[in-house]
Amino acid sequence: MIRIVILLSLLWNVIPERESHEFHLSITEIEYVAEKQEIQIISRVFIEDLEAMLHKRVNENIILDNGVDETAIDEYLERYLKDKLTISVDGQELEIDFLGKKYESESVHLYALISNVDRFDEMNVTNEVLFDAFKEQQNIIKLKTASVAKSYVLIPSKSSYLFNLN
Amino acid sequence: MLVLLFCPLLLAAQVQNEPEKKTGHYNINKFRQLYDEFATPNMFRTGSGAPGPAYYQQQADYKMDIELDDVNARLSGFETVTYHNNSPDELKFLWVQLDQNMRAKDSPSPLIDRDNARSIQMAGRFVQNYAEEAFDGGFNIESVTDTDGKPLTYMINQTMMRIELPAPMQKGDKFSFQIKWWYNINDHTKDDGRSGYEYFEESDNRIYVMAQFYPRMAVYSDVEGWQNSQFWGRDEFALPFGNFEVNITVPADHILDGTGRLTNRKEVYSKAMLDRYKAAQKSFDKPVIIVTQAEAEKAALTKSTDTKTWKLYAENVRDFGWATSRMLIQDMMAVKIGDQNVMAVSMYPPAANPLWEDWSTRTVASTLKTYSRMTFDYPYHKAISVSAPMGMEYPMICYNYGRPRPDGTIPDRTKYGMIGVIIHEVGHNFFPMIVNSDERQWTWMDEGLNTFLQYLGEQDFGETYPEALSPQHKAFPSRRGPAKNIVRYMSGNQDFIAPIMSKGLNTYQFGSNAYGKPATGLNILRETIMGRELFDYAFKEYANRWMFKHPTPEDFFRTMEDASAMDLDWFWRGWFYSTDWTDIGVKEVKKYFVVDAPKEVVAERAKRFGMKPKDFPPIVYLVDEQSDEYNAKMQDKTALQNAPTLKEYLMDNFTEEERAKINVPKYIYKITFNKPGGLVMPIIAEYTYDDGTTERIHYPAEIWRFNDQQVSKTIASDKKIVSIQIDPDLETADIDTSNNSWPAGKVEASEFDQFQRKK
Repeated sequence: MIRIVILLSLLWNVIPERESHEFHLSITEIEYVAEKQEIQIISRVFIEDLEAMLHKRVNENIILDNGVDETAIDEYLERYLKDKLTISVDGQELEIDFLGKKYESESVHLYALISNVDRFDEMNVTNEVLFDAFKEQQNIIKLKTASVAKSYVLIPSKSSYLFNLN
Repeated sequence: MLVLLFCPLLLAAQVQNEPEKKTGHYNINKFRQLYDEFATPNMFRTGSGAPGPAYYQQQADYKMDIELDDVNARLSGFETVTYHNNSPDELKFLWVQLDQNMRAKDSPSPLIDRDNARSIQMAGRFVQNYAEEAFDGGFNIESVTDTDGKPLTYMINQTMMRIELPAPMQKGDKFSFQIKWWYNINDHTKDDGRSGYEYFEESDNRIYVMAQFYPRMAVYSDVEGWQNSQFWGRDEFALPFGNFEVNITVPADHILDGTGRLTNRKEVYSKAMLDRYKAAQKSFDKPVIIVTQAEAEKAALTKSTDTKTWKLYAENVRDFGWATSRMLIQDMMAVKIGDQNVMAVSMYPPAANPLWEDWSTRTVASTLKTYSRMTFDYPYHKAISVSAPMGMEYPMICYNYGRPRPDGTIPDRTKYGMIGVIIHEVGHNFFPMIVNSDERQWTWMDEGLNTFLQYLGEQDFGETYPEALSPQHKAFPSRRGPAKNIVRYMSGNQDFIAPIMSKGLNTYQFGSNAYGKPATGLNILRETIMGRELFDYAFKEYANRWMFKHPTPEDFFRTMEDASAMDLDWFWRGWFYSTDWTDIGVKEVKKYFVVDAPKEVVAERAKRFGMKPKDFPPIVYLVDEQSDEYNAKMQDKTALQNAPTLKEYLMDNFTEEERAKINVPKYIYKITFNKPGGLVMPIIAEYTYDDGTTERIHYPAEIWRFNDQQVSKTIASDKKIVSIQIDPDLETADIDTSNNSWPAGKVEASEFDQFQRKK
């Protein structure tokens, strides 16, 4: 039996319970690199989920990871990500630069960067990625700094979370 | 005698730090043998991992008449089971598996699933869970009798039925009994079933992919007694071998294929199909269409009220599966395996084309070749791949996902996913259909071994059919196999990781636990620890020893050692019995120069041995570059200039010709490796020298046998070492590569940095 495997490879170690098609999950790692004064963001989503969102919002014919040029898709994803993912530290919203994406087996990794960030005490993350496509979407956000590693699961009815670093 | 001394400060430090006396302990060395974990070898299973002289296995033969009611999606059957007691034990009762009962209205299966009453749920799922009337599944047992029709006493406990024997069975006894049953067939696309039907609304038709459709004998063995652990839905099956004579009656416009030889082909095939079949038997390079797409599409328009009976006969199989519909296309090609011609077969609806017509049967053929090469010649006469949205395996037949999108486009991952799943499920013919391990208990024994071979099957397929690959791929893009792909799983939260040696039902992260990790472990053994030649021989030996038998994990572990002369207990213990991970690092690198020992050191040494300094043998001394005793002049001199004593020693003890061959190294390096990870692994160290050359040393895992935390190696060299890299090709699933290099600044870039750099 093989079906379970493919989905599971994406759930990593976070969700131990059910292996099912019904799972719509993303994991966003947000790391503050103090020496560079940067916040580095990697968001991992299922290719099929991202594709389903693009079908609903843009057009039905998009196929991701098919060996063709995806510049137009990247431009769209940049707008989408900026709209759905917002990060503020100590009450101030930050400008997120979308760097690009990479396919890895069944998932796509989206890379984004925030520059010139001083040390902060709290960070508020709103991540509504794919909430428009799936009502049962869950977005796990993980915050990592030199001293802290915390995570939280966002759902449409609770789409932001305030990390307190103190 | 020439004595080499490390700086005495080191010795002094060791004396000072001598720890307090510890309490005693049992053998906790990671290289101790698995005597506690393994069953004691006996007459049934030997210490070599082969079946013993008293090895036995039971047999169950079936004669079945099955009828499909397509209108009501109902299946009924009458079966005669002949059970052979080959065990030395007396049996008072038999256990029969009723897997369909997992879908009964009163099944407790949903009760053991965790559900978090999520605040957000998909409407359809919600209705299915809480509002819709439950599907009326499960076996309806109409009668259980002996062959004279006399009722037998039975009792049903969930998915297991105990039948009381009229008289206890002794060794060698045969007993036949009959069961009459029916059940409502489930829609497998709704309940994730491993069999059932898929409904096509446009033509109001179903494709049936059937399995676990009949009451099946449980396994009785020397290891488990009766394997009557309940079927909860996830963990698969344990089944005895036997012969099957099965007559299946379906609507006359259906086509059908399944486990076993079709014994009445002339009755059920049209003339055209027969002619095409004959052509297919001689076609070794491409499939021949037996039922065309036009014929399937035409058949789907009407529904026959007549029936046809398809007769199948299979010998020495552990299970029986079949697929039928009026909307199936069928193609076949021949493939030569050893001295036998095997038929590779595919069945699929028009919606699966052109993908399936192009690649399904070719994939089946390619898979049989790869797996036969790695194990034994495929012993059955055919292998069928059926298009159904699942991935599930039965003897000679399997059900595989992957169809074009409704608009006809075929994403790469659909194509590769479909080829990959066909390789995987056809591969299951070898593990567990023929090498018949107990899936109910040990998921990894078939999934792990099969996923390992799947990788080879995929790579072979890509080489045989490069035209199947997309332009941007030079090889088949396999997901599982390389060690680095398991790192994320193995470095994860220990609360949600179980050892591979766990019952399948109870493992977290099923896919990584039972498929990915064992497959990766075998890959590491093959590529890094044993080497291909030793591994392949031993793996093949295991497959051949246990072909058509029931192996246990120990039989596998022991055979791999028995046939290779490699003691791998440490590997099994770490990789299969624990959740430890690999993490090896370079802790420290010290550079020493060889010099004459200072007088006071010689005096102190001589005193210890009760000798006068002048009688003490010549000693040289290693000076740490970081110590006070080091001076920069040492850098510019050769070793012999730094240590005249050494030079004199050579002059006194070797001839000129001999001396010419002796290369006295200028630098002595002491490299300390540490191991923050619990797993024992070889250290693969690549040394780069100042002249740009590199040298790779593979220190066997046994290097850790005295100290599991850290170990030092000395490198004597004329050349300066400029950098050291551990596991440069990422072969060992090291979860933290940030400590893998020296100087430490040369840290592996993070995923983010790597991405940024590439741009």
